Amino acid sequence: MKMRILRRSAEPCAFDVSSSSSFSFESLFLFLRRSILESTPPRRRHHHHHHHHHHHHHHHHHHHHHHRSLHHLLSSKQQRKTHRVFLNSQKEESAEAKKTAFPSKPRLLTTKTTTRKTASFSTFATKCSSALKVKVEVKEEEEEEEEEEEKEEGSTIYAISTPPGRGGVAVLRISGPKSWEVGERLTLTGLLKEKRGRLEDVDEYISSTRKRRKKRREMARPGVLRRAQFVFETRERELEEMDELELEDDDDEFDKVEGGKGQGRRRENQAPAVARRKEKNTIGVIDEGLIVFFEAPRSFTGEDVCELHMHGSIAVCKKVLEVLATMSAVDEKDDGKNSPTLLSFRNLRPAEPGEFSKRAFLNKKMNLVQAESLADLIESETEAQRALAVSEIELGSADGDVSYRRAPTASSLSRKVDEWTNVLTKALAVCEAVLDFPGEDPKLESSLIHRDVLPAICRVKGEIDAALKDAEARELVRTGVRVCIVGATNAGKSTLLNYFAKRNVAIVSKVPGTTRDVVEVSLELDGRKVVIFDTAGHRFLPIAGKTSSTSEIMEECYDAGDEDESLFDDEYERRVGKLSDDTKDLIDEIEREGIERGKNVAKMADIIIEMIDATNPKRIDFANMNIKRADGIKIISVVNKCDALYVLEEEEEEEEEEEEVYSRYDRSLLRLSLRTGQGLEALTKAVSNAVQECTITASSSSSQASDGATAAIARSRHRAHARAISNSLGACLSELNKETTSDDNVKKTTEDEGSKCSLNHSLGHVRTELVAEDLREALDNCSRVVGRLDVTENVLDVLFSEFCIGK
Amino acid sequence: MRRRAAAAAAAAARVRGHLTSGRSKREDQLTGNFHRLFFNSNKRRFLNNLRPLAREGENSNNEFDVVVVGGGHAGTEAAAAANRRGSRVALITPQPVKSIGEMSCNPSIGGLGKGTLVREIDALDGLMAKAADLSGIQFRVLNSSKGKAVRGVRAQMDRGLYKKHMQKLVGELPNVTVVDACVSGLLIDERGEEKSSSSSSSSRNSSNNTSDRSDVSKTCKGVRLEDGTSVFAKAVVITTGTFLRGVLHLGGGEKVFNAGRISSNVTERADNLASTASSSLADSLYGLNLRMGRLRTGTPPRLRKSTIDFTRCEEQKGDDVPEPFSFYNLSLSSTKRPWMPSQEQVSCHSTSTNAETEKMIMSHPNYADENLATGPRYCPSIESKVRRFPNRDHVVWLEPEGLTSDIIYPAGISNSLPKGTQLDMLRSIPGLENVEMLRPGYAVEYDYVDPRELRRTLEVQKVKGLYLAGQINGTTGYEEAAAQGVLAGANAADRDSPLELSRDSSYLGVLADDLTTRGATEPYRMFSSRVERRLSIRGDNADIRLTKIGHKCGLVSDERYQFATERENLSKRAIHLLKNTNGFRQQAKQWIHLGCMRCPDARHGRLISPAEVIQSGEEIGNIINALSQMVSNTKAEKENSIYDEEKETETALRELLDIRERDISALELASTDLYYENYIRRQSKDVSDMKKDETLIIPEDINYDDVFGLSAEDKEKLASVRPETLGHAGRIQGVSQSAMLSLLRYCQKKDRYDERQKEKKVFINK
Repeated sequence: MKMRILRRSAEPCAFDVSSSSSFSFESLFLFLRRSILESTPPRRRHHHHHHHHHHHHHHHHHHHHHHRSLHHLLSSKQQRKTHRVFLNSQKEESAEAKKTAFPSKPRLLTTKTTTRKTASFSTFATKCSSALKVKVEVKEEEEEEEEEEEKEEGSTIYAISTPPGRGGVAVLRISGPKSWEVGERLTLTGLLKEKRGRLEDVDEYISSTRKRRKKRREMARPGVLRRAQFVFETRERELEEMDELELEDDDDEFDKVEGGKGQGRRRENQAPAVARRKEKNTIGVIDEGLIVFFEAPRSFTGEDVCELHMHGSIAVCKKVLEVLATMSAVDEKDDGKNSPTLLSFRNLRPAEPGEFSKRAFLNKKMNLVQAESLADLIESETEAQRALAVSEIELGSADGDVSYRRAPTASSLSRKVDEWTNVLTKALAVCEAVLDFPGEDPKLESSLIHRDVLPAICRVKGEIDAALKDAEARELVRTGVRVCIVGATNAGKSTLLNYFAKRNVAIVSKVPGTTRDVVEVSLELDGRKVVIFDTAGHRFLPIAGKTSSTSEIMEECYDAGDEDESLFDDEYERRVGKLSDDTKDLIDEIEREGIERGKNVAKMADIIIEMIDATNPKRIDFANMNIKRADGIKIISVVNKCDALYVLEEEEEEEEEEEEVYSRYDRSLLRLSLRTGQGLEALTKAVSNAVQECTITASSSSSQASDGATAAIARSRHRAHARAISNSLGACLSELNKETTSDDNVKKTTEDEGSKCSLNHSLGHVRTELVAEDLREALDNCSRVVGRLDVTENVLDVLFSEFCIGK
Repeated sequence: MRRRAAAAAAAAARVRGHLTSGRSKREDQLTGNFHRLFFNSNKRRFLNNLRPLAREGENSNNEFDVVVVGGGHAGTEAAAAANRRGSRVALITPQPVKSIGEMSCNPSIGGLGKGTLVREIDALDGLMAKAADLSGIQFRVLNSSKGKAVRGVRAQMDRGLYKKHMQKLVGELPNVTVVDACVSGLLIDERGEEKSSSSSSSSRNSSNNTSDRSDVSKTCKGVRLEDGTSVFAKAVVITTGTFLRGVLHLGGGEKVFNAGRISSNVTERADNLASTASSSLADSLYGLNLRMGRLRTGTPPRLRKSTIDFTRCEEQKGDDVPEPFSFYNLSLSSTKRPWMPSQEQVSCHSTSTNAETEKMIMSHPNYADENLATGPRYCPSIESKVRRFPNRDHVVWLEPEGLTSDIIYPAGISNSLPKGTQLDMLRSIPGLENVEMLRPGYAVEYDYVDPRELRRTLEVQKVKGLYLAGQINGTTGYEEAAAQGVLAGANAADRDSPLELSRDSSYLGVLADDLTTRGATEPYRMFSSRVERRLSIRGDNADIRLTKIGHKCGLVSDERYQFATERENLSKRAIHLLKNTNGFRQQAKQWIHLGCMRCPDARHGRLISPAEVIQSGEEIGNIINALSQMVSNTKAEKENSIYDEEKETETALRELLDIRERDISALELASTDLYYENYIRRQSKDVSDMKKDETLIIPEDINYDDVFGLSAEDKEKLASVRPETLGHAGRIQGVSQSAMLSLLRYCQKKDRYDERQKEKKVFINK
């Protein structure tokens, strides 16, 4: 008999029951009432009922359907549990009876005679239906479940979660309501385990979703890695009836990762419909690996998730994705009626980038901050980045399953923001109480604002400011410290870059001005991410009495017009050699642009390495470039080509020049020789120290982030909000302080002019509404960080709990 | 003595033309048996549009544009508003002469937040402010020491006078028929959809989406009266207040009555009538499948004035220069002729509870708050005050109920204790040692309709043409009710061009938005803290904010509009002068010398404009004085040489003084606008952010099950409110940020889809 899913009946109390039913409804009624009214342990009740049930078996072998459906009506979790217990016990005790009930296959009764039962029962059923908002119908529990799940909105998505390319392992993640089925389809694990591969069982497996699901819930234990073979099915039309089965008993379910070896197998599947008899399903093996299921909501995305751990081969990944793509194509011909044999799944599609995380966010597995931090963690390249990101995620201590179910514990930033929100809400509540309910509570006086509000605001503002200071360092940890190498042409900047990169990133030549564009290298220095920029060298023109960078001069030349251009050309010629006019112009332009870019990069840098050519000691005029140490930019000056200098030093004629280097500039300049390698260690250390210095606050607090000393504000979005909070609070404070100062002011002046003493009184004007305004804005920004709303309601809650208000 | 004074005041009022008839002994009669009075002499009644309806079978038909059920604060305003928009209105209420203008609880109008609501009602040309200005016996500006944005006018009313003036105002309304009848049900046109009564009652709890949508096709066609008469109308406004299944609790559970209130002049008949009618009306509302809830409110006992020793209480006088509610009165006053209330002004008194009182209250075990429906947190009964904040004294305000009335309303001690305990408790309070209790306090439980069933026009979502206003929507307070009345009445008059007030336009907009998005878990009262933009939405600029809007939709007369425009222009001119007149700028030293102490600190002798001095908190009056002093000083100094600039300064000053003379409130408004200027500018940025969200309209037929990523909780909340815009959705309590994200994405996707469909169509058509 073919199975049919009954649609929900339109009539609220239409029962699809066999007309021959002679079941005692009274006993059912009694039982149900008991199970509703009393909350006795379900097992006992069932036991009791079971006898009853058993007793009636011979009367009508379908009556347990009624039980099920009505159980379903009371479909609380507990009820479902009791049902299961009930079914299990039944299985053991009345296996024989069951066989008569389901002679061949589980099915639904198709005799559709709708009979109204006794009045008492139908009224009861109506009550049930209205109370539980479901319509009474007789239906297999599993089918109902199936239907519920079908109704569930949302597609099933899949993607290879490991980076593309070769590797030991590649992980395919499937998430969504159908993920388990897709996973099983890909591996046939459920199938193989269940029936040990006999043909009729395979047939039954495929046709009976009911049983499969039931089994799956029992056997596919979520979170357990199982060994599996990834297979694909192809359907071919063949004239011959069937192949001989080549199935071997398999033991390929393992609770542990290691285990026996599966074997390749060919499987044939006969579709139940007669028309398909000549259709043949061939199963091919793609790869062998591990499969793991996660049950909603205990998964990363909060949905049902299945993960396949395959070998990280490009071909395997490609094939699996291909197979999945064919699965997601809905066959228009089969409109789902014969779905058990269909390979297709509706709403199965590849995941968009970041969609798993998005689903996790939407399913409240993490909040905004945590989602952002997760992205950071995945992106993290260095230890400090990792530590920072992980401190934010903090998915909570794993004290059992409970921690999964509740909302994830707040990350250190969200926790801190919560704390600030609480303090500020209280402060605002005081203000609002003073404003909205003057004189209703004797405790409510304007002085409260100075007593309660002022210190609270001060505290929060202090904390936010500290966190903000810290934030910049954190941002640097996240994005990397920018180190920019600047200096005159041919000073050895690119050579230094190549040294840091440990490979030839930049072209090095003896020709001055080789580097035109900005060359960028990311690397890790003592656990910190550092981005080093090499820039085009500045040219220094021999102008008497003035040492300036080429770029300035060049600009001047271009700006001033013809008169100085020849000078520039001369210099260029001297260095580069004679060029045709066209080429020269072009090169000029490129170099000019290169230098301009270099300047821009230098302005953005956190650390600048100034390279000084010992043989041509010219220094960069940072003031001209608008770069100030006061802005926090660290400048490390090194003198390269010191080996040459020593040679020079030896030649005493050149002492003059050396003196120039040392007399005009700091004697503590690092001496470096990229040719000999002298001083490189010292430079590396100096850079490393500077990098540490830039990120010092973050590193110190990221280690203490767990105890929440300071909030970790790593993102510019958070920083913007925090700065807004700080500003608002600053405005509050200045308002409150102005209050005191201007009152002082008034006092002072009134003391001066004693005649106007009376004025003092009328000027006792507290601008509480403005303080409240700023506080409200601060709170708005707090709520924007973690994404929560409703300041007013919170304030009113605090207000009414703190003050006795009311006329 | 008092009588004579009162008579003198009345005479003065008559001269001013505020009253057409003087107050006399009749006033006493008014507070007595009004009913008899009405039937005895038609001349004396104020409700001159009270008419009987056509009987069944009679030729004339009972058809109106708008039917308003209930004659309380919401009902009268609704009728008046609908009438202003040109509708023929029937105002149906049992015993209208008794119920219209009745103040059922405290004898005062206005307050913080509420005062602004009254101003807004007035800006939309409503009645409340006018009646209150005529009947106030003590005017006070609350929070006068704080900024103007958080001030509120509050006035004690003479109950009888208020009723009289309100009835007179209602009586003057053209095309309003007041009907003395009880409404027992609604006439609902189901538009072909069969709705059996059994299904409606069985699925009352299930707010199924599909059933909701099928309900939309219902239309309200009118009401059925208790005697079976049908009254037809294009729209019906229901304002039945606490009468929906009202249950009265007295004596800590000792006595329970079915009544909405105990009326001040104890004629139980009307209340019984009303309450029975209202419960059949409640049935009819239940039949509409609306979510309903239950709330509680309470009222204190009433005391006999002559038995109170006021010497032991603290006197609380009204303001020396009272501020009126209505912009008519406000704008017509100047320094030379300030507005004066037409009634004699009296004092209130305050005393407080003590340990003895607390003991008395605690001695009674029956604690109503635990057993009854949710009451307001901001207006707790004395029982809950004492229990929640023990060992403290709680203030009791003794408010007179009228000039001639011997009743005192003790605010702050509403309770539902047994009569004896109430009296004991009262007598432990200083000043009330020998007090006589005229009527005990009691609590009322009543049904309200979850306002999330409404649109922002206060129309029931599921039923076209049915509007709800007032306490039935879960609010509390006369002002809140009246404000809703204006909104509902205006919208009922013309469904096609609705008056929708946004959150950044008015308190009324916030009220409507809060109600329809958050619902009411406790009786909803207006607080200024609920209004995010309260620095720009103030009582003193309600006319400038709303009169234009009201005029556009025909709710406000041209004359009134002119009036508001003039005020706006004056204040704008004043702002311009204060900001831009160069001659007004002077150094901080000089400002202080001239008496403006709150002058900003300015380095290097920078010149400071009067606008800046205002921004640092100086009163406008002081500034004007300082400026005139300054101008006269310079004049004295340089009498002969008259430069252009000085001339200009002089004319500017003259203009300012002229504005002050013409309408001092316009000058005050200018100074307040300047005072908050910086903050308002910042807020307007937020407003534009909000507007962006507000413009994203959620499709009306959205099925929240289709929106991916919504949790069941979010779905339920959204489906129950069915917000109109994204901004609206965001304000629903408990709807998460991620839900907003999903919703936004869905709407955008749908937009794109629709556009594509449209393009397709265009393509095909080509």
